[in-house]
Amino acid sequence: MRPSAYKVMLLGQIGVGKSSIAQRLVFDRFDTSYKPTIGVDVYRYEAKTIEAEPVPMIVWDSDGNLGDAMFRHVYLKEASAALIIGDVTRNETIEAMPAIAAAFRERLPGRCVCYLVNKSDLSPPTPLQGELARDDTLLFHTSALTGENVTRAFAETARAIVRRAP
Amino acid sequence: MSAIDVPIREAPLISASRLLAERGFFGIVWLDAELQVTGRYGPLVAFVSIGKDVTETILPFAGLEADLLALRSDRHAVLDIPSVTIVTNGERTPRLNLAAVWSEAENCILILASRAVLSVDLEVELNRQIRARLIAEADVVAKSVELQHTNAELERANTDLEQFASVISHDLKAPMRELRFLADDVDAMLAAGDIDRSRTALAAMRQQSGRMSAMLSSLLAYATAAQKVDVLEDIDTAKLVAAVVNSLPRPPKIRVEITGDWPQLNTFGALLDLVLRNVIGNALAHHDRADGHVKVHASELKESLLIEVSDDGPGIDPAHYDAIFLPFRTLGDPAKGEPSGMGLAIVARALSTVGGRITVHSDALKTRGTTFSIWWPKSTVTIQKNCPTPYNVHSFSNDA
Repeated sequence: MRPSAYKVMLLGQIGVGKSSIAQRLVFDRFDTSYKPTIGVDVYRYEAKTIEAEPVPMIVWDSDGNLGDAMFRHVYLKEASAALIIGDVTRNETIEAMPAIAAAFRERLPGRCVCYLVNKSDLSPPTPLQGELARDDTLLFHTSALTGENVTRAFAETARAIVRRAP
Repeated sequence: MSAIDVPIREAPLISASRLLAERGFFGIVWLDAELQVTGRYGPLVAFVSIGKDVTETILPFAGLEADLLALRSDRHAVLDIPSVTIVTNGERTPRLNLAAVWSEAENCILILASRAVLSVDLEVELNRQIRARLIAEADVVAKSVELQHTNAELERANTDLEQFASVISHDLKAPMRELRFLADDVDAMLAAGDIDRSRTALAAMRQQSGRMSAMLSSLLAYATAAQKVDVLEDIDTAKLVAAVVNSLPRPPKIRVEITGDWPQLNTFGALLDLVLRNVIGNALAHHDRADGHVKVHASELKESLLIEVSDDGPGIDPAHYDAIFLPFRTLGDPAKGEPSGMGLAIVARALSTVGGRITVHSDALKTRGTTFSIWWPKSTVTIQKNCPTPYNVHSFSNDA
């Protein structure tokens, strides 16, 4: 049965900008005050792709405090994709991204994964290092502040979801 | 049956449930077999649209249609989605715990929404309350300290007032009385035609008038000594003491020697000048011989600068230790042009203001010479700390 909307998880460590990405995506705004997400915030969004009808998404902005517990949680149930976000100014959050992707794929095999290297406005583009550099997963350098690549990342994720949908 | 499972009649149960729902403790949503919303109850679920598919109006259930429908076959199962905030059209719901269950009685799926309270909420609230309490306690302590300072100031002002009253009534009264007697004398002499004696009496009146004027000037200096703490300056104490010594009048054969370590201090320069001027001036003014020696020595202690002013003058009888620090108490005779007796009183008052102290070491009955030791605080922090009451700052000893 084709779902009425595709569930997309925003995952990543605390403070990488998950909520800012969601706010930029859904309301096209950026809030300068930092307020950690508690539990999950759930948004509706319609991704516009070139070749298909708008793809309805339910975006789950998760609490970075959940850590690995997220992968045992009901929140992840029936998710169609995960956007895994890191902060380009904090290398440890970037290094953690492949492990988060692996845990998501283990829980939900075959689902779409996309990397967002966020806060690109704070750092000049630099070549990726380590495991992330060797990973062929879809990756975008984004900025929730300027909006760079935010809608594009979701559009590409929507395309990948539709392509894989039964 | 456990204690809480006491059967309640249906009507009170419904009434209680309705009350709690109406007060926003929870909300209920009814779904039909096609997962369409058929009803809702309670302000907590006001965001839910009746007639719409549940996945469109309660977003966290999107994708979980199969799980919702499975509740019909597993009638004891509960589909829980804890701690979610639903954001639609820019509006955020409160953070909710959502639970979907099958209702046998109503033959439909019910969704119960309740306010999510996480341990983190409790922690945040606890921290907020602790912070508020700490702020309130700090405020009370600050106010208490302020009150203590105000009380100390008040006590000091009262003491000043008493001392001033005493000075006015006793010390200023003497020259006033003298003036009145002299005026009576002049009156009588003029009546008797004794011009020469009346001129002599008028000269004595001028002298008493000058004395009173000097006393009032000293009194003003004493009263304003405490007001010189406004300006903190970087003071080279070596230069200051040299300037003070050079500015004081002294007999040519009385030598003043400055020794020891005189540091740079950030302190109340005007008050330190006042203290040095009066103590050194006192040593010079009371010296009873044509040649003599006054030594001004400084040594740095941990929190204060110790300044010792020693002379080889006549010394002070220990019986007079208390008196020399009181206004207009002098061992000389002001009427003969000797110091008015305000110098050391001004010193004591200035030291009380900055939290310093002064002691005197002398015993005129046994030997010549006097040493005044002054502890001048090196920092303003020390000043605050050591400034409990105004008049306990100078101690008197003959064995220091």
